[in-house]
Amino acid sequence: MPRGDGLMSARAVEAVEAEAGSPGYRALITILAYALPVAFILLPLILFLIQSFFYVDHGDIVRELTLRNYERFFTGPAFLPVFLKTCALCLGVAVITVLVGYPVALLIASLAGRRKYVLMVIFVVPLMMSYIIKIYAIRAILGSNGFLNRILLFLGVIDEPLTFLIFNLQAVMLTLAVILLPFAMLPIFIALERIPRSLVDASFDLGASGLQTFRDVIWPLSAQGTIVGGTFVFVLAIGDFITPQMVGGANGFTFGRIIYSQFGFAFNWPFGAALSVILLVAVLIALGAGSLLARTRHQP
Amino acid sequence: MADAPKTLVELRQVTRSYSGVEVLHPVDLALRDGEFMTVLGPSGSGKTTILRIIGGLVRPTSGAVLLDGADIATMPINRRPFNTVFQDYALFPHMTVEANVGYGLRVRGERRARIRDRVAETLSLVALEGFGGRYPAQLSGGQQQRVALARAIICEPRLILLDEPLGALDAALRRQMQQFLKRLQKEIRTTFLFVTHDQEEAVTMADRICVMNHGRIEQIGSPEEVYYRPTNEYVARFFGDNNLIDVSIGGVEDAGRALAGKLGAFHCAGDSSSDIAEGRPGKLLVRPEAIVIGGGEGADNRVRVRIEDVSFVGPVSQVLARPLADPGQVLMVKLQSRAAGAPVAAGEEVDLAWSAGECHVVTA
Repeated sequence: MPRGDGLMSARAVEAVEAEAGSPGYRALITILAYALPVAFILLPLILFLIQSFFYVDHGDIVRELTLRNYERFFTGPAFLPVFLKTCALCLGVAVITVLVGYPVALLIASLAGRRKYVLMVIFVVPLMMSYIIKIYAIRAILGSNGFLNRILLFLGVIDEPLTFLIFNLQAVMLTLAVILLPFAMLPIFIALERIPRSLVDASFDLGASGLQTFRDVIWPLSAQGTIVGGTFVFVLAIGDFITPQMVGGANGFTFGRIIYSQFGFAFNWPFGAALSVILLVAVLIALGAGSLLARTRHQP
Repeated sequence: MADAPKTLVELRQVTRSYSGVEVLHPVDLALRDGEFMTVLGPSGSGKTTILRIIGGLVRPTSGAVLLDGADIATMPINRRPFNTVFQDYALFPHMTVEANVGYGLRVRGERRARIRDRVAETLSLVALEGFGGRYPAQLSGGQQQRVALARAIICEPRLILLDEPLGALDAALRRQMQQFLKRLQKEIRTTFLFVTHDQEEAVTMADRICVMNHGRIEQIGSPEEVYYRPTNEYVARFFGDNNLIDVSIGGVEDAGRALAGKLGAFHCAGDSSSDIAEGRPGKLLVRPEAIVIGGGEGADNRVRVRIEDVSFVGPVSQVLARPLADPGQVLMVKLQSRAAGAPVAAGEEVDLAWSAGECHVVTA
């Protein structure tokens, strides 16, 4: 009976609305919205921060607040140099991904119709692939018995396998760049996509060349997305410890690996926590600098 | 006396297809130097395609585009001496008004001082002095519109293409901008090609109107020509109210043409009808405001009708009447309203009359 159905559904809607509108229900939603991030993100971070002020004595964690972990970071012979080298490495990764990603994103964004979205998906699919598989693939290419060496040997370019291809910082940088490239391309592509076609038309219409149009219109309007992409890559690269471990070898020691070793081998959790806090600060500074740079680039 | 107007841009048998579908059938169009032409048509009629072909944003599939008689089909957009005012204005959001307006000169490598002077001049021409330091987002729609205009005229193009530039403005501002554009065009003596779907806008602004429908040009002519002497039924129905009476076309008379139909014999003056072959079916067109009620002894054309309805719509009153000879048809008459009321009432039988000079004939 249509009339009955109508009445029922109307009543049901009223009931749901009443429930959703009741003060108790709303308060519950609000509490959950704040409580979940606090419980699962903020609280662990605070615990970590507190942990970083403890210290280890003969394998036991002493729960006394001290600054000695931070002191050790600044005075120890290896920590600060490795940290700075890692920052430089990740900056390099960010620059490579942007330099490679920007032209590709520009090319894809300039295609007409649905083709560009299909192509972009093809580029983004590696994002979803297992990280470990990608690293093994790169090892299979760069290793001493790898694809690249075999080709070069076969062609007679070299007589012995090249060893400088892998197990050093350059290999880490290259691998990170390959893995993180889509993270740089996506924000750049989105920024380029958002530039109205008519702005480019207007620039040409006013007599500008392709290069002038790029310099005066396309680049300024996509710089923000480019900075976002670069920042993304930097932040993801600096926290990574698996890639350096798998393709870095003995010469590819990075800050992420030091932190990892504090937890995994040295069992000095408070010191590891302190190093993590320092890394977090570096990430926050990178994010802040990125957004500051992006804002001054774009805002009137 | 001025010479016959020179042709600036000419389209010859230009077509455009998108994935095999022809959206622009062969069109011929000659733009005269210094004229204000509006291209009028519903959406999908091909009017924007014509504008983009001339501007260089779209390549014609076939046909020739001539500038001063020379083919410019392969001339890239940034070399054409035309500038466009885009529908969404397309102002560069990251540049000030000054930088936007000066852009065309800057990319041509003009000196800084000259750019500054020209920008100031042009901004004062569009009444935007003092706005140079603002960004587009800080301007109203009408102001953005004038920035787009300033940016298009600063390079002194031979032709300015305007793609429905007033579409986003409210009615009052629209009228103001229409007058402003017209004045500006006279002042800078540049050819304007103005695309619109608004007939009133097309009529008030144009020296000549190009009426388009389904990718074809239906008629090109002055607003009066298009209104009083349409070349076909589409144009006749497109502008304002019109009466269309089925007739068959008779012989040529000294004053014009004899016509015969269900409603009787008619006489139509005018040159445009003289080349139509005798015996063809056609439509007699007569505007509602050209018809006189009652009078009519000795009038060229007369139809006996029964008044069906009289309605007051402000300055005019609209009368609907059914001819006694064919009650299936309805004729419309528009009278100037008077305080004393309309001279006829519903149900009356009267004569409608109009002179041969007030009507026009097209083939069906």
